[in-house]
Amino acid sequence: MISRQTCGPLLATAFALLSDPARADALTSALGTRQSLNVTAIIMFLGFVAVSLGVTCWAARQGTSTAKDFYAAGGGLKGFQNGLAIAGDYTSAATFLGVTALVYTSGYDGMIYAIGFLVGFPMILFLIAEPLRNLGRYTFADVVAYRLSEVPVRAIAGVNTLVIVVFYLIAQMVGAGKLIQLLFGLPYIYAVGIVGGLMMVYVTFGGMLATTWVQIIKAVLLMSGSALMSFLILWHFGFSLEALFREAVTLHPKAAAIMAPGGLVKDPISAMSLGLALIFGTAGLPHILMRFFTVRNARDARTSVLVATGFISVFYSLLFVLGFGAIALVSANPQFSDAAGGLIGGANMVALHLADAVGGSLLLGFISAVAFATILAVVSGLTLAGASAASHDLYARVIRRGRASEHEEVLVSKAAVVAISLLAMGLGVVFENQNIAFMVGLVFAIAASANFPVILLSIVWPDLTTRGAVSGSLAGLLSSVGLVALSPGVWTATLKFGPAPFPYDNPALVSVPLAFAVSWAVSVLDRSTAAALVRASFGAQHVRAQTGLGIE
Amino acid sequence: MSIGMAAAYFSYILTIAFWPRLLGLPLWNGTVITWGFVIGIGLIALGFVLTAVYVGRANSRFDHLSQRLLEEVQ
Repeated sequence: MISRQTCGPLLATAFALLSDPARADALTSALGTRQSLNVTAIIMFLGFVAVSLGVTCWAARQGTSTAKDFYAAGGGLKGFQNGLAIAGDYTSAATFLGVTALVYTSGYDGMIYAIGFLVGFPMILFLIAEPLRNLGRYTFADVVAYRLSEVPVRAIAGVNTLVIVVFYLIAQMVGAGKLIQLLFGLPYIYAVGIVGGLMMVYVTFGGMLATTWVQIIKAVLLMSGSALMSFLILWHFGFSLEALFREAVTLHPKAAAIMAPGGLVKDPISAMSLGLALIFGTAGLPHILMRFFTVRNARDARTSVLVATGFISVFYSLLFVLGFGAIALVSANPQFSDAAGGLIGGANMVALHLADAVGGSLLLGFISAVAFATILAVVSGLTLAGASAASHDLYARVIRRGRASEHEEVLVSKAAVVAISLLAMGLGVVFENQNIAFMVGLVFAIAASANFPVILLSIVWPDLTTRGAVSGSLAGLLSSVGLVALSPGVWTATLKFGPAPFPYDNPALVSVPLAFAVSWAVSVLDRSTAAALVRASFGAQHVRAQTGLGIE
Repeated sequence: MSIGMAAAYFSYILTIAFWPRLLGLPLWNGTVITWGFVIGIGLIALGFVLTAVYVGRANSRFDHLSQRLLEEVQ
């Protein structure tokens, strides 16, 4: 817990660290190569940090000492608030900058990704949202462990969560470091340190409540920023989509080819595999699933998905306007190209150049600050999910077999937050110059193969046994990690071992069916008495999953 | 409903995989807007509409049913 007295110094330190222009200036000129310091961006970002630390202090005073407060914000969030926070969790800086850049470079292909990300949401709602809310308390492992034997199931779910969180954090950290280096002219290592330090503060002191509000503020900022930019673009073209697309087709080197699917998805197998990973991966991401425990009942869980889907649909449609707007307004403007004719800072910076082009340095500053805020919010959500797995699943239930007090459990998860933050910062520095493009794909593949099949089967299939769940999950985890390691993206591009043994970058088409098949086969063959007991208890679980009978 | 959504999505993915030119056809003569855009935006909208329909039905009908069930049990 944090008292009123400690909040003041906390804010003061953060400002001292971030608002010393002399020091930042000295650093920039010493290294020289980075973009000049963007004062508007820094002021706006400091504003965000101040507000979010204020929220953290407020959340800390509401209390984070019980497990329910720390993991689930007391379980009393409204469906609308939670929906906004889910939208926030799902719209990372990587999507904002990445999808815009993808549309900018390859046109229509960007839409394939956007749709894949989106389709996952109705699937979550139809298949698992309500049972999840009715059966679980803090982590999705609660759901799987409801009737299955707790220790092995939680052990594997906890490990899966930590693997997903660590890979996702590395990808976000490296992206954040590079972005901040470019935007604010800070050295990479400082950037990683600032992100890591702030997320540690948010999560340890404010728990789920602070994380949720940081997420909500950021979601609103990001949505309004993209809406404003889209409005300015359309205004520029007299609100005619036809005129916008025509200009883009005229200027883009691929001309009319940008209006149709192109070379991004190479063959049918890659297309199917990517589709599977995107659609089911969302339903297996621990930081998204965890959000369903912050609302009171299944009705609020439904509302959150509806609100989240609405905001994300609008956001992705806007990204499309942004991408084409960038082709039309940025690509031909020499102000944004470097000496070699490429875009300054690479294609991922195109959304920021676009802000500059349509709204000048004020909008550029705003969008830069929003991008930074986005990274902070997403890493905080991930860290909390990782900490809950480490403490609630692994420590309290597997290591201490349920004998740990609630106070102890919360202390352990705060320690886990610190440990995960430090690990993420360390790995962020180690991976600075590595090709990390495969990591987000890997995260989705693991989520779709190791988590989703087990969650789904435990909810809908009476005959699933403990052995089946554990072996299926393990098969999903090992096959997805193994196949990614053998894929062109890692084997050839990152490790430079020559031609890859497994020809596809995304393993989901193999690993998801494999996980289902192993779960099924092992469950069917399982003749132990424990298996019979587990099967017999499905009826009671089903009633609770559907109605919420007996829920706290 | 999840089957409907998955079917719509995978038929879209398969079209991309096997017949990308279909999505590149212009909406009408002389425009640069293609069918692909209409279908893409349509899929996004379909996802939202299905979600909304489900939530509406669940809130009125299913909740009523489970409420009655809960009362009977208690």
